[in-house]
Amino acid sequence: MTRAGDAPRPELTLFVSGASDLSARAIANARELCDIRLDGRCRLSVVDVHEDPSAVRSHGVRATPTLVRTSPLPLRRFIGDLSHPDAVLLRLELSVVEPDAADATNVTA
Amino acid sequence: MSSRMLRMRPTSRPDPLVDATTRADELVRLAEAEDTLRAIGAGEVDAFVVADGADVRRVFTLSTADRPYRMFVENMREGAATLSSSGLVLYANRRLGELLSCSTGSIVGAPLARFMSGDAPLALEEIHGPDAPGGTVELELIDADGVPVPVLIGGSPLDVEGERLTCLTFTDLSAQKAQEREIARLSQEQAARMAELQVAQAALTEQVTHDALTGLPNRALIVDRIEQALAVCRRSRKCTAVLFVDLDLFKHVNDTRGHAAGDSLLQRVAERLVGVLRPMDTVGRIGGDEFVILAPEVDGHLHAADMCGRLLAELSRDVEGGAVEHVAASIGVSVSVAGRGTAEILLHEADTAMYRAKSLGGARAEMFDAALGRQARKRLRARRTLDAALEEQRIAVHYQPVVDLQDGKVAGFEALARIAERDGTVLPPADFIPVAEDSGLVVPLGAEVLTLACEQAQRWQPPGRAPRGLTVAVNLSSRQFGKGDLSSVVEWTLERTGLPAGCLHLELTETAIMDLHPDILRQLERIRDLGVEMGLDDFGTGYASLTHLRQLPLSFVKIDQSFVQGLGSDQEDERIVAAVVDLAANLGLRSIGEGVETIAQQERLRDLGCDQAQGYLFGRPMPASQVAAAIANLA
Repeated sequence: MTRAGDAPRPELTLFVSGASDLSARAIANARELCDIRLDGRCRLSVVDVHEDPSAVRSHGVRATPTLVRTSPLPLRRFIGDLSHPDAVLLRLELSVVEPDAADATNVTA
Repeated sequence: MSSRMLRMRPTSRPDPLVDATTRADELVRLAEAEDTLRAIGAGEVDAFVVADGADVRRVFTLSTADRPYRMFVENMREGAATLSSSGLVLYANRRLGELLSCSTGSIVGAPLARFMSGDAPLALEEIHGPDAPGGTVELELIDADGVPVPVLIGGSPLDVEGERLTCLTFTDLSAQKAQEREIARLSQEQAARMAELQVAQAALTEQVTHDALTGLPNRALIVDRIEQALAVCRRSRKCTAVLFVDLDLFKHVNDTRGHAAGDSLLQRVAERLVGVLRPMDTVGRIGGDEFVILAPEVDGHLHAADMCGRLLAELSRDVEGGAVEHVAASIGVSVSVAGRGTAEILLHEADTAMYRAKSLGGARAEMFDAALGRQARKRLRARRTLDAALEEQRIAVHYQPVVDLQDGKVAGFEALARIAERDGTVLPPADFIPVAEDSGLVVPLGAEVLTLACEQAQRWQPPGRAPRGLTVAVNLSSRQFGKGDLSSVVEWTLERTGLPAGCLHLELTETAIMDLHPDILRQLERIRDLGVEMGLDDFGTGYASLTHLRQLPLSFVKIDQSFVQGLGSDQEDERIVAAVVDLAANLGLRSIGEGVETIAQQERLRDLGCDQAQGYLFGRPMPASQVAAAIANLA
C-alpha cells in the first residue's frame, strides 16, 4: 500500500461523440470527479471519437461516453454519463482522497 | 447498479497461469459489458463505434445526440449546406429549404446547380472546387417556384475522410437588395425633386429680381449690380455711371390709349434701350415708366453723356413700321469715380438729375453735379418743413386783393399758402410749392388752404343773405383731382364754413387741365353746379387751347403777369393782352390782369376792356388781420 499523496497521478481520458447533451453532461461530471472527489490529483483529457478514431481503437472504446483510466495500466473503462461517481471510482479502481485519512484504500472489483 | 449478469461460456482449455490473467480480463470485460447494458438502459450512451481491425469505420450516433448542433444549424438565420466534391448537396438546413421554397428532402442529393441559372454555377466555382480556398460570392439562386433569390454564399473547404467537401452558408440578400433598390429609387426621386426645386428656385429668383412686364432686372437686382460695379471700380479706379430714364408724358399714353398700350410701349422701350447699350451694361425697370441703366467702367462724364445722346436718339426714332411713335425721355446721370458712393446715393443723384431734365422741358439728359446736390438737399429740407407744418397746423393763408377796374373797389382776394415757421417768420410758396407738387403733399395742403380761406371769407360776408360780399380765390393743383372726388370736398367745405358758393373762386393752371380726363371734367361740372366759379390761372404761358376754354365750365381767365408788365412798353405784349381780353369777352369769361405794378398798367388794362386786376399796386399778399385796413385804403 502506498500513501495516496505519493501515488502516481492517474490519467483519465473521456471519449465523447460530438457536442451532444450526453457529452456535455459527461464532461461536466468527469471534471467534477477529478476536481472534487480526487481533489485534482488526476489528469483529464477529452477526445471526440469523430476526431481521433485511432485513439478510439487503441483504448478499446465501443460506445460513448466512456471514461478510460489510461494510467496506471491496465486500462480500465467506464461507460455512461458518469452521473454516479461512486460506481465510476469503483470500476476505474481509483482511491478517493479523504481529508483526514492518511492511507487511501485500494478498492478492487 | 444493475443486478443482471452476463452468462459466460466456460473456456475449453484450462491453464492455471493464463487462466488467472484471462479470468481477471474476463471479469473486467464482464463488468464493462454489464456497465454498457446499464448505461444503454439508462439512456447514457449516445454512440457506438464499429471497428474493423485497426480502422474505425463508422460512429453510429443517436439522432438526438447532436441536438445542440442541429438546433443551432437548423435555426440559424443563414441557409447552410454541405456540398460533395461533385457539387451534390449532402446536407441542407431548414433555412435553405425556406430560401428555395421547398423541403430540405428535395434539396439533399440534388446538384446545387439545379437552383441556379446562367453564370451562377461558374461563380460558385470560386468558392467550391478542388483548389478553391473558400470565400464569399454573391449570386442569384432560383427557388422551386422559379423566383430569383439574391444570396451571399460563404464557402469553406472541409476534408472528411479523404474527400474534399464544401460547407456553404447562404445569406438572403432579398431585403438588402430591396432596400438598395428603394434607396436608389429614393435618391432618384430626390434628384428629381432637387431638379424641380432648382427650377422653382430659379423661377422665384427671376420673379424676385426681375420685372414681370419687361423681364428686366428690378430695383433690388439693379441695386445689387450697382454695388458690385462700385466694388470693382474701387479696385480698377474706373468710373461707373447710373442713368435714370423717365419717359416724358407716359401718363398721357396710359390715359389716352389705355394701359395695354402703355404696357406694350414700355416693353418696346425696354427692348430699344437694351439694343443701344453695351453687353456689359444693365437695364432695369424700377417703376411705372422709370428705367435705370448701369454702365460699369465708363471713361468719365463725357462717355456717359455720349451714351445719353445715343439713348435719346434711339428713343426719338420712329418705329412700328411707319406708325409714328415718338418716345421722349428725360435722363438723369450720376457718375461715380473709383467706386465712390453707394447704389442708393447714385440712384438718388441720377433721379435728382432726371427731375432737372424734366423741369427743363424733357427729352434731354442732365448730369448730377454739386449744385444739383445742393438743390436736392434743399428740396429734402423743404419736404421735411412742409411735413412738419402740416402736422403742426402751421399752414397760413395770405390774401392779395383783386380790384374791380371799373370802380377801383376791392372785389375779393386771392388766397395764397404760406408756412408760419416756428421762429415767427413766414416761408414763401416758392420754397415749398414745388416740393408739395412732387411729393403729393399738395393734396392735404390744398384742402387745408381751401378750409382756411373759406372760413376767412365767411367772416368777410355781411350779415343777412344779400348782397354778396368779398370773394376768395383758391388755387387748385391737378393732383387734387386724382385723390377722390374734389367736388364733394368743395361742397363739404362750403357747408362746414357757411360760405356762399358764389363767393368761392377756384383757379386752375393750364397744365392741370391738359390731360383732360372725362372724370376730371365731371368733377369740374359738379363744382360749377354748386355755384362756385372757376377760372384759368396764368393764361398764355401754358398749352391751353381754345377747345379747353370752350369745354371747361369756366367763368374767368387770369392774364399772366409777364404780359401785363409789358403793357405801355411792349407792343407785342399789348397785342397779346388785347387779344386775350377780347377772346375772354367773346367766350363770356371775365378777364383778370395779374402783376399790376403801375397806374399806367392799370389804366391800359381798363382801356383794353379787362374786368379786374391784382398786383403790388393794389396790395401785396397780406395776413387776414390786415385785410380790413387794405380795403379802407383802396376804397
